[in-house]
Amino acid sequence: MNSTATINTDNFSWERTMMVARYYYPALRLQLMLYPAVSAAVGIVTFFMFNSPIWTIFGGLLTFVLQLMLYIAPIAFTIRSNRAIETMLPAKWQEKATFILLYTFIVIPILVYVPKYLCHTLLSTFITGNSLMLEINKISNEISSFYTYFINIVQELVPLATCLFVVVWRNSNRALLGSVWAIVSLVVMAIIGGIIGFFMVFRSGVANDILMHPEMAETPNFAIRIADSLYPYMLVFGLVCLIYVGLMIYFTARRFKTAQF
Amino acid sequence: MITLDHLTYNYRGGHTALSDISAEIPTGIHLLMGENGAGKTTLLHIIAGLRIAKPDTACTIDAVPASMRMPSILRRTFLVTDDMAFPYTTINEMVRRHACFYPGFDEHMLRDNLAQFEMTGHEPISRFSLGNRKKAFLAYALSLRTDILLLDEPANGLDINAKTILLKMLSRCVSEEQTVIISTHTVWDLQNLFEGVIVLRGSHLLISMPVWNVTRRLAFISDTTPRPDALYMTQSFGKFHSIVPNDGTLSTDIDYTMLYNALHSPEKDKIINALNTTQR
Repeated sequence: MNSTATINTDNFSWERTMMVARYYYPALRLQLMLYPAVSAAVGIVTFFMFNSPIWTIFGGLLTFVLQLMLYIAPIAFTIRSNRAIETMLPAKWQEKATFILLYTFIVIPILVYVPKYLCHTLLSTFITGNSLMLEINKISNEISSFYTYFINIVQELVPLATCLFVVVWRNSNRALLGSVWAIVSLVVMAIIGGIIGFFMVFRSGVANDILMHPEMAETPNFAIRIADSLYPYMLVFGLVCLIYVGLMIYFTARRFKTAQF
Repeated sequence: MITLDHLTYNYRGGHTALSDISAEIPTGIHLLMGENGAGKTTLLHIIAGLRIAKPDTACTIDAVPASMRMPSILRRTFLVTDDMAFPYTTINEMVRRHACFYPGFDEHMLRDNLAQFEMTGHEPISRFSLGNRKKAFLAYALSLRTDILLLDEPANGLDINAKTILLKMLSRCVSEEQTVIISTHTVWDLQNLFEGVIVLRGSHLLISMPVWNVTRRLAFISDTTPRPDALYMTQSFGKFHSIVPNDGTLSTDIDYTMLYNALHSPEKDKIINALNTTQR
């Protein structure tokens, strides 16, 4: 079947999905250039900053910049957006939803994180890694597992999915409310995480141990013990987040079918 | 053919925008009239697929429900609203990104239309006045050559010269196979154009018929003396303007403003009865 035939039918067409992508490209162009540039810059800066006292002040801020870029990325869809023209665009709602979801959940995370890690990797090849970064990476590798990576990824997706849902559902103030609700979802997750941590500390006996032997907190094994105690709760929390993200994706996709203007 | 079959549309909160509307709208240029809040924009939105009427069969285009938003129907329909925002920085960019969805798009027609409005398509839309944005959008919309083109107040914001150009452009660009529905309060800007008239009042459909059918049944007469057979009459500037039943002997142009006023007067039912009378 030639390409013209696939876009002239009412069946799902990847060619038409690509046309939807070309439709949105001008709105996303700046993001496609800016995000990798900022990510690479953050990667370079954090690599050289790690051993210095400045890291304690700005390190978290720089990391949060990248995370914020991820969380509010969907507001790019509101640039010069005309909801009427988008709804009337001769493509199936599934094609529109496929592009938006693939761009948001695959392309954006790649743009945000891959340049940073590539910079770290390349710089590590040519420059001896600073001792603090190596130590942190060592501890991180010891306590990390598939489950921690899974939980981290899913938790990153919660504000992203929330922002996308609001941007797609709202007809007005989409960028503002998308950003606000992304932050709200972060705050809610932080509160729930805090409650889980509080609950875990007392239930697992860690609190008592710290009181009796405060020097324990400085040993690497302590981090591993905390992580082991947290796993069950964080796994459940991760699953809840996954269900939430799944529901957001579902309702976001549905919006393309049911939206009215 | 656009078919409306007992179309009813309610907004959230209970407001009824359209109530039990049934009509068939064939090819041609149709005037859509109604007072503010009559449901004109809602009707255009439903035909364009922007609003979803229930059941699906309430609004169909060649028997396919508009609410299903199938690509095969969407590529045949385009709506220009009164306050449409441009999704791109220039018309040329819109051509590159958007026109590819519409197989009937004619670039020569677009260039001609833009030239009529003294534009090239390279101009940044952000620097345009509202009127010029409207011109650019209309020039573009006409060049898409969709089977169904819906224009909501197209003459709003246009200067006098632009209205004349738009009238000529519509005459030149719209083919016999196209259905164009123009919703406007300023009828006189485009009044020589219409082949059909649709009048809504208070969410209900009063009439939907070809203009030739209206003038076959009604005559629009201005005289210095009142007509005793007038179904509706007004007086201004020393003349009596009347709508009288046409027995086939009178040949007059339709006066949309008078027709509109008559359909919004206590004589509305007489006018509708006269229009529905079967001619021998």
